[in-house]
Amino acid sequence: MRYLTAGLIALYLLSAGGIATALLEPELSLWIPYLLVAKIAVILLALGSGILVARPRWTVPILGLAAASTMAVPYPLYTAVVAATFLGGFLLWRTALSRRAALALVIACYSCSILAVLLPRLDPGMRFNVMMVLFIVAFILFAGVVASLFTWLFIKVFEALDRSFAYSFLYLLPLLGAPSYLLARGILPLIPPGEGAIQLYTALGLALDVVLAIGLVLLLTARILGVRLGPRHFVPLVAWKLLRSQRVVPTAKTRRLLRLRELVPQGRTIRHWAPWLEIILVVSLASLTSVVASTLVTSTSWLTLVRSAAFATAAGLLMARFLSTLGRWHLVTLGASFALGVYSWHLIDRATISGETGVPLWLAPVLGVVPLLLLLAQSAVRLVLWRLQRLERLPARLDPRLAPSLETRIKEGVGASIFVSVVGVAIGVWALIVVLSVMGGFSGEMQDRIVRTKDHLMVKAKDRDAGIPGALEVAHSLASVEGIVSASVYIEAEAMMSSSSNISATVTVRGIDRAPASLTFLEESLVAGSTQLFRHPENLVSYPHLTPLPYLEESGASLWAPTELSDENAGLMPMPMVGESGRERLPGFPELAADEGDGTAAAADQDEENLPELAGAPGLIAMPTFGAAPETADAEDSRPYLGGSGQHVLPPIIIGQELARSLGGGVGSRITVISPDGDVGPMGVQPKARAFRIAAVFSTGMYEYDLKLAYMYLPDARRFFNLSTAIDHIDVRLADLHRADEVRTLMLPLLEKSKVEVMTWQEMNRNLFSALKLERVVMFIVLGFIILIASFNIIASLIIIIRKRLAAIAILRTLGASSGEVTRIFFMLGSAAGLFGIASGVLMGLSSCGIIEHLGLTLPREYYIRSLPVAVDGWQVTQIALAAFLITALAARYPGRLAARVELVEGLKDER
Amino acid sequence: MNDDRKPVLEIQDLHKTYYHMGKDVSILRGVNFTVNSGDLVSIVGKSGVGKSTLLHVAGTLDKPTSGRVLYEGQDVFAMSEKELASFRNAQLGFVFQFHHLLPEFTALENVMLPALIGRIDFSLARERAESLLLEVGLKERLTHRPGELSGGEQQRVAIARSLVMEPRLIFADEPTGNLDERTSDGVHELLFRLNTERQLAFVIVTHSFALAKRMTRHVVMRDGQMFTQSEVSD
Repeated sequence: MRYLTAGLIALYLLSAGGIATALLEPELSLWIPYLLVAKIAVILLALGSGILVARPRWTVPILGLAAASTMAVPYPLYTAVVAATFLGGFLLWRTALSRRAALALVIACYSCSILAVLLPRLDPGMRFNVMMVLFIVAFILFAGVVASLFTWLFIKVFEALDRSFAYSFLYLLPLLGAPSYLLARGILPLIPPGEGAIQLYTALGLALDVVLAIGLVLLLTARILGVRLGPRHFVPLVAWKLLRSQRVVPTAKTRRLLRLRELVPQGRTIRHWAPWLEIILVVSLASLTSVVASTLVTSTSWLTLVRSAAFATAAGLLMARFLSTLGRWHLVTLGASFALGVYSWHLIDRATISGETGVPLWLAPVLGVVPLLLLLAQSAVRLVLWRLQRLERLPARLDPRLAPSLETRIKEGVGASIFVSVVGVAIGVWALIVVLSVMGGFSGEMQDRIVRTKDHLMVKAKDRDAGIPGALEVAHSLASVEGIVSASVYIEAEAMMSSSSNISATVTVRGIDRAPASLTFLEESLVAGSTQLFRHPENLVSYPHLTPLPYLEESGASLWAPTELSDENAGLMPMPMVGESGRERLPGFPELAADEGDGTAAAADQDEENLPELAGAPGLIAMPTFGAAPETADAEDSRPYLGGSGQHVLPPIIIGQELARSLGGGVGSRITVISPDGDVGPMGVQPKARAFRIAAVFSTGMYEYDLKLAYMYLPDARRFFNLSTAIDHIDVRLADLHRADEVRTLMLPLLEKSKVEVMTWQEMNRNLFSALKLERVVMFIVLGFIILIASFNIIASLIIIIRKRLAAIAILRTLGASSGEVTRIFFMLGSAAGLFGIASGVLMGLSSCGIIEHLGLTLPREYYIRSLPVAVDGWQVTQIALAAFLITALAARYPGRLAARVELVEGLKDER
Repeated sequence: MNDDRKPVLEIQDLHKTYYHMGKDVSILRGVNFTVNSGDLVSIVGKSGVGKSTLLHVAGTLDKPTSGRVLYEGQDVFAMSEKELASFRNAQLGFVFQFHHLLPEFTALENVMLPALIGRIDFSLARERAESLLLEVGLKERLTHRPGELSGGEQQRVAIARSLVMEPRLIFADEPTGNLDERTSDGVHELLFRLNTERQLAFVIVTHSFALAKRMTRHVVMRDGQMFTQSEVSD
């Protein structure tokens, strides 16, 4: 107990050291009070529980976690020091310091270290180096003492307690070191590295502390009040015990070791060292992982030194462990996760810091996460089995400390046989969550793109020729309805487009209003050009040459370009073209051959076409030609694109990215729009064609839209399509998409007079959405089968357990348990397995989704979505969990009944 | 038979027939006997004469083909399954040759189990179990599992378990059948001590001459029938 107390005090000092470090860093100051309170609470409670309860079983993991969370203080320096603590401790531990001397040293070193941190801050300079040396030396000494105490503590506990428990706890330590770093920088990259990450990191440590403190308070209260924790009723008690039961038989290796043991004289043999070595190894690995990870981020020379030392020590310890007759699989996983984890973070950091990637970056998370998952899985298994893996006690002459390290084989273990079905359920739930979230992400993404581009509510005239009488007024009045953001009129017609190189398929052309509201939604998806250019097409011809504006101004030729235009377009200058094809053509625009469009325009175009050739000498652009253009541009209803000098400017058009690519054009290119119903000529109806100039290119993310949608001005469209007066559509945009139906009913009174129909966005895309929904339902069913099959596994393993535990069932019945109670025991076993599987499946699923979302799995180009979208729907996850629980609970029901029907007398004959 | 001792168990014309391979195999053919409180009854006989079957039927673990088993005048097989279960829990104790302790439970928990099944408060159950284990001399073995106990210790735990609900009648099927002589003697002493201290009635099926000879009454079974019923005074 004295040692325990000493260890706790040391730990307290260590935590306080963390706080002191935090105090010195301004960005952490926010957390200091909480940290302080939490740390002190944890330590005091740990002390209290250790001394009052005198049950180190609870104290030790708590202390360990507190230590680990202290290590999580995100300072490479500090972490390095803590790591050095354990390294130095390994050496000093052997020197057998007295406890009093150790404490004195602790205090001395601690003050020295604070001094060492403080001084360089006050007076940076030569003293810094001196103090740094002091600091390191002091801390290594301190480290040695603390480490010796800790190690001693662990050993004590190790001897006193269930060894497998201690082992599983020790295995958790590296999990707390590396992954907290991983969490801070990898899985949660939302917070940029730096201040945010540090706070997050600290918050993690803090959260750990708080959870510990709460747990401890509960535990202590229960102890003081004499409340027994755990099941009190025999049904859950038996179920719980059964779940944890396992028969383990010594394997050939064990027997060999037993024989060997008899030959080895009592004394200092390998068995004496094995557990010690393992403890040191795991503790060192934990700290080393964090220190190496940190040093890789801020790799200065002396830290590199520490890193090399760390690697060397790790290698040495791994060897030691290998020699210490302990399970070699643990060694492999630990070693692999350590090395790969470090390497992966190295990759990531190198990429984030210097932007240089020698190795493909995706390798990093794979390398980092896979072994971590392995380790997690291993630890999970260990946690489940740590109780089960108790050897039936080996002969007394075998050192019990060796027992957990012996290779054992699981036989007839209830927990072990159920574990397989647990894994099945977990995989099922995991697959369901991931697949449905990705599908949800896809459909959400699609929905998003659809509503971004198209009407939320479409008001459409029933009679197209008649249109909507007084459409503009109607639209105006609609805009004031609650929930409606804007309402704008438009007309729609079909046309084809052609360029010099290609002809498009049918394109839906929308003639839109000049009102800003009509353009707002379009504006968001523009990738080149701007609505400004759409409004002022006269600027379009010179668009690619706007760059030298200042130069022009200097030469006094600023007349043609309004200043606000130059400001607004400044950002767009460098990349006016879209797509690779467009980029190739940047220097000179692909101009269409003058087609059969009206002659005057063609003539004007000839003038314009000369401009690109002048690009090389921007200052020489023939500005006066366009000088007067802006003044006329605002005249709405007359032919608006006539320059002041009577020159034609081509009407503007906005097209989609895919269409632009297929036509081989970009902003400023000329394209010809061809309408099938043209004028009646001597040969019948002749297609009508007219040249337009691309003012902007949009990308909605929907291939369909990007290829088959174009916008032009309402008057242009009317003129072109011969739709003299009628406006037949109103595009209504909503504040809240899901209120579409509601808003529609609000709208109806305003539309009574006109013969119109109103469609919501869901109705317009009903086929798409219902197909997506059907797909999800089908996936749910198909993947649900995994859970179904896993639940059959539960049935099978429960039946096996029942067959093997006939005697236990019979004795329970003999002692007066009713058959219903026996049924419940096995039902509980089955549902516990199910629940455990579901819980781990949900965890796995959510973390996979998180990883997919944050790492962004890049999709092949064909999918038109850059990275795999993920949308985790909480309700959906709940549904999955509930459905899975229902299935597993139903599955657990049947074997329970089987157990109740066991013949008592038959069971009692069973000698097992 | 002393009149002041009330009959605890009455068995009336008990028949048990198994149907096996198309033939009826008669195990018990009209067994009658009575156990009074504080009786020490041994059932002896060759293998396969139906000793264990008699014990199981009398202990309500198996149903008779015909005949009645009365506990203090009440026909136990007229009870519902649930009533029978709680009756077994409260009134009867069992000790088996293969002790049948639950290997996952510690000695203490094994002893507590009947009390927990009988819905007795956890701490009370624990107290009772502790004092019983103390009584059977296993003070140091409370937290050991059956696998960590010797055969004799296991059987003591089983005896403690049968006592925790304070029954009046304990059925034991070859309680020392698996133990060596010295260990058996210890267990026997324990049984006799409990009999005298607590006025517990025991019905013990045994092959052990040493045990049978110290019982107050002997029942010899032959061909499914009660052959002799003798009373021995100490």
